[in-house]
Amino acid sequence: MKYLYYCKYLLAVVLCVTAGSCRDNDSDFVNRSDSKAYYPEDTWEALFEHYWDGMNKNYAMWDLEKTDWDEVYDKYSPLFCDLGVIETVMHNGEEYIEDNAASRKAKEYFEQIVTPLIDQHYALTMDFEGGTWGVTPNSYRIKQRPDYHEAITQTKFKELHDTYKTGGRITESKGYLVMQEDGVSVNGLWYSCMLDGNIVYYHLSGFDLNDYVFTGNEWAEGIIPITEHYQTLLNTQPDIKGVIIDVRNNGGGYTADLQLLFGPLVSERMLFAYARTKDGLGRLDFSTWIPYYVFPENNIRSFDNIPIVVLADMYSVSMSEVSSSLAKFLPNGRLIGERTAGGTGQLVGGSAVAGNFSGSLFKVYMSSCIAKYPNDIYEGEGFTPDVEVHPDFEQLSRNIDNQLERAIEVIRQGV
Amino acid sequence: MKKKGIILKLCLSGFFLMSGVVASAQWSMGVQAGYTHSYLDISSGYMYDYKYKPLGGFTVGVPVRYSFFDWLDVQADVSYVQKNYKKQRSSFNGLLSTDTHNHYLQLPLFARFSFGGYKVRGFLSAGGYMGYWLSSRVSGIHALSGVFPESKDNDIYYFDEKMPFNSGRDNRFEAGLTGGVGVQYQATPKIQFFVEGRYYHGLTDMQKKYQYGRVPRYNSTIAFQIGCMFNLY
Repeated sequence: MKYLYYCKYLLAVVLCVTAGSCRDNDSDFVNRSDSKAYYPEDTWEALFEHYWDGMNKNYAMWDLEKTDWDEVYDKYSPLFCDLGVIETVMHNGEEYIEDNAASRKAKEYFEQIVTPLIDQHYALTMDFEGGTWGVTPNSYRIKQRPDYHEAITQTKFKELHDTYKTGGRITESKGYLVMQEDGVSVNGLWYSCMLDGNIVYYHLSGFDLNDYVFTGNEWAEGIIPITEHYQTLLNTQPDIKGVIIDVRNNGGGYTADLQLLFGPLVSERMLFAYARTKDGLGRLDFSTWIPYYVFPENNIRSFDNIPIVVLADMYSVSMSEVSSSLAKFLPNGRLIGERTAGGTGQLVGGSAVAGNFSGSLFKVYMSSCIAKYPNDIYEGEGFTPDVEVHPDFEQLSRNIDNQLERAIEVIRQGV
Repeated sequence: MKKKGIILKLCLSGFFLMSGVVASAQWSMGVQAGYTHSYLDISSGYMYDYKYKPLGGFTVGVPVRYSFFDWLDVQADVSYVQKNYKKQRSSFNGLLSTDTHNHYLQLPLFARFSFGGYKVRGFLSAGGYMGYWLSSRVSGIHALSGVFPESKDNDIYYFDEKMPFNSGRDNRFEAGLTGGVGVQYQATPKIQFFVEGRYYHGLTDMQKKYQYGRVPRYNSTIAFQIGCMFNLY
């Protein structure tokens, strides 16, 4: 029996030694998202692997996604492998993908992969010989809508403003224009004014108002006074009958701008959404939901009984949709126009570990957060308006803004 | 014939050995409780500012022991074990952290080898365990720039909430190896006290195999516990 006495110690040692080797190792985990030097994209297969792995780790909406990302790998990895080496050309020291049969096929594969994705901020771009090529789920989805139409340009919005102003319907107007390089078309348009004497109106072609304040970039000097003018009108104009915030064809921007727009309009702290980002490397590793409030600010009068309208269309995305959500959920709010784009997630920096990534030959732009408003998720769907009005392009050609006219009618009906 | 003879001898030896075992066999049962020190075995990969750190917890259990010889027992416990860990960001995001408190119901089964005198004996144990992940709670500090949960210019968010399980991701069954070392004191012929350090080495990933490129995560837990056993018969 004495051998048993020693065997027990042997057993203990063997267990201790073998224990460490029984766990799966993670040696297949590589950081292609961050080390292009070690994973050169010299073949289409390598580029696809890099792209697939970055999505695997960084994409913030896997729990909403209908795409099976493992199936994407199984299906497309051999197809990209068959495309062989990536032929590139150099221009001014920059590397571009050559336009050839293989690269055209690669575009086709990427279109098939990207267009079904639910994230409506998403864009995959590549530097091709002759220009940047890109694919976005959002532009694809919008074109599938039965009520699809071209966006109303900022140039047209400027014409509408001028017509309404000439006709005396717009007064107290203060605006800022950013022209395109052709010197004719309007790239950005912000103006706040009084409409028909007693409606405060603010048109924004984009947000980042806070960013202009903080960074003081070249547009800051022009845009900041427009927001200040909007707040001044809210605080000083007598007998205000309504407020219209017009975010048609507005691609969004910094979410903190919400405070500038709605702070003067709410009388108490209002919970309207929750936001959540990735908080780990697994597809389903998410952070806690963080409540998202708008706080009363600079509100020297109450707007509780005054209609607040957000005018939106299918090109209103991101921060424009955050604004639209407030119109949906404020008791005195109305969302008028069309169902919004459905890019209700957010791109935030700082602590978020999800979102944009890139390789040496491609870039992915996408949401780092998903948001729910406040109980439901609208990503990929957008907010349905309380009053649906599509643009009438025949009337627009005569500088009659039928959507704005409908918003005015709703305001005249009261809360 | 020679082969049959060997088998017969082995059977007889086994019979006499078991007779001896049964003659000295004894059941005992008790209670134990103590402190746990757990950490998560995981790669943080390219998330350079993520540091996973150990966290303390506690355990309580009911051990049942069957003694074959004075030096060999088999023991099983029904134990509640906390397997907690901290995820701490560093650098620019150093304020942000998440404490995860995982609650497990666990059934270790192991052989226990003891040595020494009658009153005071040392012991070593080795075996395996199965467990079930009962619930989880997370607390800490998080932030998203531009999202203001507390005031119009403060994006810090303090949270303390139950973590719902994700049926697609979470593997609530756990199994692994366990080993321990300790000292026991025979206070009376019926009552025994012990102090013990025990290690639980999880071998099952806390996640299901739900994705390619999965980064495995395992619980590793050290328990320091005291207890007493009562001889039943």
